[in-house]
Amino acid sequence: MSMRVGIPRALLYYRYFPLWNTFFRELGAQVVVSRPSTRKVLEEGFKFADDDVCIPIKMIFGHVLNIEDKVDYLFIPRLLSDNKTGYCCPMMAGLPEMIKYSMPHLPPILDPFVDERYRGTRLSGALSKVGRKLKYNFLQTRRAYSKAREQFDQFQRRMRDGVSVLDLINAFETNGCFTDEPLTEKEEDGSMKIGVIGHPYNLYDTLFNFDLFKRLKEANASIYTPERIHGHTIDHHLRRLKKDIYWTLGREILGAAFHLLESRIVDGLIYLTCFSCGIDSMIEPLVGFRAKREASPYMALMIDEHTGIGGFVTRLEAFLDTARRRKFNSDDERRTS
Amino acid sequence: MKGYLGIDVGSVSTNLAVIDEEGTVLCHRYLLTHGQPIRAVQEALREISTYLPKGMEIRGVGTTGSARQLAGVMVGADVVKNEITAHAIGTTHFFPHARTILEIGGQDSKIIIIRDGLVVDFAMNTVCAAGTGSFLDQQALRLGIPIDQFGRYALRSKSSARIAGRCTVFAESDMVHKQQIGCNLEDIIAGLCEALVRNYLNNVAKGKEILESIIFQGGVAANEGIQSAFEGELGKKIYIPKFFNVMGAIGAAFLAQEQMDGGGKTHFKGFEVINLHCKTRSLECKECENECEIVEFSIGEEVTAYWGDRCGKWENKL
Amino acid sequence: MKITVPHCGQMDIFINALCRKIGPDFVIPPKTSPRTLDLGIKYSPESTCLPFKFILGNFIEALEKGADTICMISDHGPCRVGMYDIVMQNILREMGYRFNWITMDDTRILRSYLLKFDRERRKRKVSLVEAIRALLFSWKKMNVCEEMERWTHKMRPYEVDRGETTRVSLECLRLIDGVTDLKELKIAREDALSSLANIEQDRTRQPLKMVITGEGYMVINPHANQDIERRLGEMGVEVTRTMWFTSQIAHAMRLDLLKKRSKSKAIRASKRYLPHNIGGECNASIGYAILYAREAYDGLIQLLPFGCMLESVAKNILRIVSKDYDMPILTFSLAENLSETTITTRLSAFVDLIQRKRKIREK
Repeated sequence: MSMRVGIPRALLYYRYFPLWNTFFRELGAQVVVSRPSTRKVLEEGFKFADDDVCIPIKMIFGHVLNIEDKVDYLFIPRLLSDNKTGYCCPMMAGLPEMIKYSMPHLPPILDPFVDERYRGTRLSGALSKVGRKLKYNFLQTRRAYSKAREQFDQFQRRMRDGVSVLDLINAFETNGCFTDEPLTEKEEDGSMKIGVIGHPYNLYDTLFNFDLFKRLKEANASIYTPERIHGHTIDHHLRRLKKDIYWTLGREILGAAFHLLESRIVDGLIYLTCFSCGIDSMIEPLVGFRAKREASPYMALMIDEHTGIGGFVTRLEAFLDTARRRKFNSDDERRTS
Repeated sequence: MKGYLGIDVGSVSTNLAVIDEEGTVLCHRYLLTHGQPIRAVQEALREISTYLPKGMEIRGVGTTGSARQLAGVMVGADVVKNEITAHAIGTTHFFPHARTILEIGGQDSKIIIIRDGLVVDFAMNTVCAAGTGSFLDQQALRLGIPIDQFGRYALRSKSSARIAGRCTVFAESDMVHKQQIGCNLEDIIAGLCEALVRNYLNNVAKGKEILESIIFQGGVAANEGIQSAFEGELGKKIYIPKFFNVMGAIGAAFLAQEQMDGGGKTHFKGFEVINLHCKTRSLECKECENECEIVEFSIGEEVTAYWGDRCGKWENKL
Repeated sequence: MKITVPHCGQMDIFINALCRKIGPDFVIPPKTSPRTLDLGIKYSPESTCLPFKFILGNFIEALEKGADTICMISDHGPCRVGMYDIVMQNILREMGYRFNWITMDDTRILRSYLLKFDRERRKRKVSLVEAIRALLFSWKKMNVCEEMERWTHKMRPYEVDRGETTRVSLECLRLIDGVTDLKELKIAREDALSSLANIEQDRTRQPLKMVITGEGYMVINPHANQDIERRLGEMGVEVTRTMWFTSQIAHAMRLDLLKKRSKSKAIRASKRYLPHNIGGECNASIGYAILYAREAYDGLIQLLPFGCMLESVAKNILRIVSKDYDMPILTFSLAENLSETTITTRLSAFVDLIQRKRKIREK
């Protein structure tokens, strides 16, 4: 009887799912991922999460509740830093404690400590400690990790090639791994290019993103997310800032935004953020200032507990109209000059 | 005959109670403040002065509620205490085994956790209306149903409509939606009661250990629909005290008794206060850069008290 | 150069003393008032934390008053304060202000504070000796001010005449702010201590002892915490707080490892509940609760700005610590709508419940 390891579909699941899933599966465990987010999942999370915390954290509480009775272990890594460029959100570093102390009846939690800035606490070592805790030997965990790493690297390559993260999640969950068929849609000429930036757990969460990607596709727009942009480009833009942006996802979002705005690849930029996000509260204004300076169509969409779908759709449509009008005006200008 | 007077002046309601030496409630009054705490207190005092037996001596006065300081200065209080302590003292007198007090008032709500007869934890909500009486009042008005009938409608419901929304604005739009798809009034009202209880539990009561006996009080406690929704949500019996809407005043009276226990003369100015022309005025002190807002209280032409200063200069002037 | 810094505890007195001795001109922002907060709220992005709004308000008012250089601390995360400089610069420039900005990097005190200070000193042609003397004088002044504050915490619960401690201590601080050399400082200190000792006291009272901890800005600034120390003192509570300039600097320079109830000790104690130092004051807040519970303090108050990433984690964990150590903990998560009753009613209920508990215990 293989043991069941539960992974909540929230927060950095949307970035590391190929790695975490593959690792546990290769060890021989049965991986149980919580169901895609819904309003009900979030409301369950409200009951136990504090008022001060942001909605994505409330969401992970809900996801934990969704799988607690179906698993032998919960996997909630303690992420202080997932990339040597900086920190994760500090609430992720204290997350296992917040969950443990708010919901004491849970199954045991696997909470490896990850601090990529130092050699002794990198993800590979942290996961191998988890493997040993589950009574697998060193060779088994090592093999499992390298297979997991392979899948993760493939995932990152695909993202950079422009494949939609949502499609990649679907493909992985259906097949258990990435296959070689390209899943990108062809970009039509003259179609709009819209940048969509924000934390992956806002962009790809089925409740939080309000089907933004589907709506953009319906509006015949191709989409640029931060994952499409190479780390070197991000570094390049941030270097010019002469300021250390010390949140790994924050700097990714900011660097991506600067790149998309400056290079004028996109006709409009949307920042999907949520109420009470500490990181976005500092990063989003910086994107706003730059968009203003570049005179680019830009919209920050804030999700909160009360967001109604009506308002969201209206704003999106208005924004796309503006961006479209701008684009065709400037295209006309170029043609006539 | 000797008694103790308790006055609870809140933003929505003003309550008064008089207890005797044995702790029996001799009389009580509940009326709406209507933005005029001085007038409300005088009105309430006038009403009970005719009710009390002749020769009754008030040996101590306690005030509580958001305007406790004003009321205290006005009537001459021996003890001025916050509402949480007052409610706890009042309730535990009638329910010595109480371990949880759920209180929903017009504009605020509280939860008080009691262990071994002592308050050990509490929480208050003063910002969000979704877990307070005003949430129901607004909807009663909109539906055209008197608020005192609300509970009965709710109890007639066979299957409540689920009203989502953690905010009064969104709950209302959800309710309108349910009406328009044909849900009947009883089910909607029951759903509203459940929404209020959910908001209360997720908001004020979050993280608190709710153990029996559970006492439910405050103006909203008259609503049977809410009582039923609490019992449904918590799966435990809820008790509603006889004096559910004046418990703060009763507690203040007990606090006054406690305070005067060691003897001494009361500061109570007597029922003549009813006829005094009291008024308040606020002024900005310019004596230092703090610029505190000072409240000046006068009876007739005579200024009798100041408060609101940080350094005590004004308070100690008189 | 007309330099300004945000209001933060008694830091004004330190900077004032330093600048009076060796320049540059110090433009003190007007006292933090409701107008300051309104300005801050108006020009800050909505989701920024409360300290950001207060500080931006200070800067706007200081720029209005003629400051041309802003000096502000910073760090390298994960708290948001390290990003204040770049966001505020953008906001202020958009408002049309022109200014220079000096960032004091909190995590690299030696390199940032001292070297920058030295560069300015040389620009201004101030000799090293003068500069060191001025620094030591200002540092001593601040120490005296903090000493005064600690005395008011101890004395206020015993005062007979409400507000006398506050009146006397304000006078003392004004006096100390005015002195210009070490000799005068010594006399001023003695005068201050004796005036405090002369306050009429009722020593039969038995004050409760409470500690105030949490996010640094909220703990050290009365304008942000509704003057909580004074209110508690007037309710008969001897308070202590865990945030002092001297202790922060000592901790940053690793000089507090052996000191009793130090931040280093607090962080160590917290590891039982939060095994890694996640940054900010989070671990310290948890650890202080443990340290002070062990010393039989009657209660702890945690202050944080709404949405504070680090203190939210501490808030969660403190609930368990409160249970495990049987110490009542009251948390205030403060947002812009700082109404007076938000704090006073809860504070008085908290003090009541502890006083009753103690009374029963004594019986």
